[in-house]
Amino acid sequence: MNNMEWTLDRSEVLRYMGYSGETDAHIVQTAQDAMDRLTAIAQPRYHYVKLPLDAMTLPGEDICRHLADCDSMVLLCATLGAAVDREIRLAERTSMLTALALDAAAGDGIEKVCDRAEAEIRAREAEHGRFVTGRYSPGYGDLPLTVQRELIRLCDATRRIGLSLTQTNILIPRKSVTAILGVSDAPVEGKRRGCVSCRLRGTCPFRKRGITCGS
Amino acid sequence: MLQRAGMQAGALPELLNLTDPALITDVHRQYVEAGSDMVITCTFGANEHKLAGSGHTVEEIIPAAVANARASGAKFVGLDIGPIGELLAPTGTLSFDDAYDIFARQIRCGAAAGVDAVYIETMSDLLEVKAAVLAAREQCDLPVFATLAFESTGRTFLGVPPEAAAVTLEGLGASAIGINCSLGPEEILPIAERMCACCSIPMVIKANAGLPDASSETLSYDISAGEFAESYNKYLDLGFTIFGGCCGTDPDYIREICTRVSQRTFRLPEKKHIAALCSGTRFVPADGVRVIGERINPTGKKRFQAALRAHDLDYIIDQGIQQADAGADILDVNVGLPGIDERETMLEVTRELQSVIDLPLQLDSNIPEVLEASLRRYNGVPMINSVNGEEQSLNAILPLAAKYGAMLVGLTLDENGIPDSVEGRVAIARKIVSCAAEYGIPPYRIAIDCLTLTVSSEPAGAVQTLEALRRVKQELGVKTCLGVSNISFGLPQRIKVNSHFLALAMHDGLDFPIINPNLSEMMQAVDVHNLLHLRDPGCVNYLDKYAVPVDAPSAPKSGADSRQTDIPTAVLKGLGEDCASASRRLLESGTAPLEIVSQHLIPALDAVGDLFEQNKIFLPQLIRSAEAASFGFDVVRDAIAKSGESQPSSDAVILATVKGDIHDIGKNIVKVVMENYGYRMIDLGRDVPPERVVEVAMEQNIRLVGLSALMTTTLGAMSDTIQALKRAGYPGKIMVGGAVLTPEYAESIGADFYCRDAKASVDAARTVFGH
Repeated sequence: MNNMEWTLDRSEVLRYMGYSGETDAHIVQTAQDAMDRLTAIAQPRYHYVKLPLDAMTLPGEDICRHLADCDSMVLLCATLGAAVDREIRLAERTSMLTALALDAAAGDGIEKVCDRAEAEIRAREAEHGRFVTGRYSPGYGDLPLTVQRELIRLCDATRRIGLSLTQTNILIPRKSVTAILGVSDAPVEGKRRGCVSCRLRGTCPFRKRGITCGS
Repeated sequence: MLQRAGMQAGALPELLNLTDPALITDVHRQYVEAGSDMVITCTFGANEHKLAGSGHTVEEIIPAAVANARASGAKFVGLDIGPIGELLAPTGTLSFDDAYDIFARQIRCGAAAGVDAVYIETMSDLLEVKAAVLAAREQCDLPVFATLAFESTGRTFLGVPPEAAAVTLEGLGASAIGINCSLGPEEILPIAERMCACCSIPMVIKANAGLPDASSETLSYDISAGEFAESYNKYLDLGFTIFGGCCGTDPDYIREICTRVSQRTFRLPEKKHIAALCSGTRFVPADGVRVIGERINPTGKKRFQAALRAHDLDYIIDQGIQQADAGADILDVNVGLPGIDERETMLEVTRELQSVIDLPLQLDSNIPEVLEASLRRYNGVPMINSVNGEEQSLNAILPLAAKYGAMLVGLTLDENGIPDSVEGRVAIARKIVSCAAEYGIPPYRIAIDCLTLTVSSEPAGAVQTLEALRRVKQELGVKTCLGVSNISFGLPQRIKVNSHFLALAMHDGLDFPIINPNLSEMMQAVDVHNLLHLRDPGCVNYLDKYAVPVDAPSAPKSGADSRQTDIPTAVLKGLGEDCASASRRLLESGTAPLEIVSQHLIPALDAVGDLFEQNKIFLPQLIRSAEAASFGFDVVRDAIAKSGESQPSSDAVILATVKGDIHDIGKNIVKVVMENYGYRMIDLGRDVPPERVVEVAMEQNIRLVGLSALMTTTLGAMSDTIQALKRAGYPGKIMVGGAVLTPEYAESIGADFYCRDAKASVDAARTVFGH
């Protein structure tokens, strides 16, 4: 469906691995190898639907703020596919360092897929002079993970991109994202992600080192 | 159709069976009037998982749906069954048995309501569709249709190739198989051709009306009813006989199909005589020599036996990974050892192997119950090892091979042992083949093993085995299999005899050598055989493997002069081989093995741990150091094993990702690091129920339990597990970790240690064990 060109960002991958700097050539090479492997095996796919704001119940104040001044919303589902899960499982058996690098590369990969989908949504709305917020996902702030089920159903994501859920609302394949974007006639910002609304603010190892996790 | 009739997007269509039966019947009637012979019920998602929270049960919806379909006047009504909506392990967390129960419940309801067939569709996981087909075969006597949804890559979302789907489902006794959804008829055609090439039963095509319109705001597709039906002519040519329409089609499409198809003659697919094994993602036809790796077997292997007794799955799975890397096509799995629960172990090992390796497996056991349990839950078509000419064996094993569609090894021995004569062995093979035929198992699904005798004690043994092999292959139309290495028992330089005997046997028609693929001479014999027998076009494989000299093992790279690298440097820089050679040097200079651990390896890891805490090195380097240190620990363990001393009993620590959570990379990092501090890690895996943690902790007198949770929603399960441990009177300590945890929360749920990273877990263990 989505035959996409994509490029991963090595410094991001290293950051997801918990590494700072580029001085350890072997670690950098491990990250690069994982990125190459990931782009070879991943099957990035996304699908989105535009719906009225009342198409599903969205509990919590944060999502209200995110969708403030919007008249409709886009539900986005994206995944890297099941082969990535398999590859990481295998790597965990042979080299945990490789597994960590693949996991990090996949983390960056799924962000890139979402960026691409978001750009497409934005361009499509812009044709009609409309504006789109950023992405807001179940699990951020006070938007519960339980909305995943309805979101996936409305998006027909199981049939369209092979995305499903466990009983506890974890996305399968693991390297997948669902998100909600607001659409409006006027420029909208939506609710920012970031440290301010993050529950890990107090203990975050990234913040202690003076950086952020990037979400 | 339902949306056109006013159903809201996102509503559960299955509920309309109850709330608006007339609408459903009307839709069915339109299809009947258009010419449909069979309509399928509006029950795609009518399983207990998808109906949860709808206020209605499977038992309410399915009978209503069947009645609504019947009321249309259709000739036949098929019970529609779609995917459960939750993926099976290892991709997801649902067990095979639970999936089976979910399908069985739907099928019992449908059969009781009087459907004429079961129609399973839009599947993307081979194991899930297997569960559904088995449930249909066992719960009713109705015809079973099973179709999967493929993508333009030629595989399903979960990576199933059409060939694997065909051989697996035909083997399980489906009445018709095929393809539905995802793509239009033009895009599906190449996939249909591939499926057709492996399929001897009626085939179904139920395509979408082309591809969805690029604008995702509407639900329109890009080809007309006429174009759609026209392209089905090509499917008729392939031997497809059952036609329908999926997303985007309506009664007009069916009318067009009927108009065109009625002018043509049907022809059933030819018999393809496919001998093949597969896993959920790899198809392995027996179209030349296929190497079966023999290493997952405790016979004569002390280390493997110890691993089985210690429930060391990691070691066993490693054996599989090594053989896969060495080029095996199939892995034999034998876990029979007195004193262990063979059934449970077999299930666990095959499940774990299938979760990380895509090679098909050969299930190797003498016990029918062990075979049946693993055949049932195996993803794909496995091979059974084995049946023999004894009545008891034939009666027990052949029905299993028939029911599950497995390939089968037949040993040429019976109540009287192995016949001395070639004729005797051929006779037993003939008996096996004819008994198998009574169960509907064709000869090409049987691999006859003419049995290798030891040439040092049976001088004519090799000649006889080869002669018998040639004859069964020519006379019976079977495949052949042979355990090779027994030939050289008791002789020096066995590899010379083994590799030459293998070459002769392959020349005489051996299809499945059972060998150790880690021995390069054996794989070389196979590569050369393929080269000389027109099985390596353009010598591609041979050149690829042998044109350049073999490199030294790559990472971890050796230091400039490994003779000089000491343990602290090797561990810090992550140089595994250097760490091993430094450890060996210490042994040679008289250092006691345990002293290497306490005076060298652990202090080296501590130094790395300190740097990590000071943010001078980071997580990847910490892991790399732990993995490098493991090379040193291996040297020490081998030295202790050789000296005959028993391995020092080490302190055991349980690790588990709590119930409902499946994020486990963090837990696995902790495991690797702690293992290399000498702790014995009992890894219970992910999604672990509290009872399981309690059971193992109490049974094995554990003093430290580590729990991991990565989501706020599963912190409750962590708290439950801690309470369950305390209620059970667990006397030890508990450490917890995971991204969403805070020290305060950890304390509030009664954990003894909050571990922010792998190093902190080691510190917790030291506090508990005092070292």
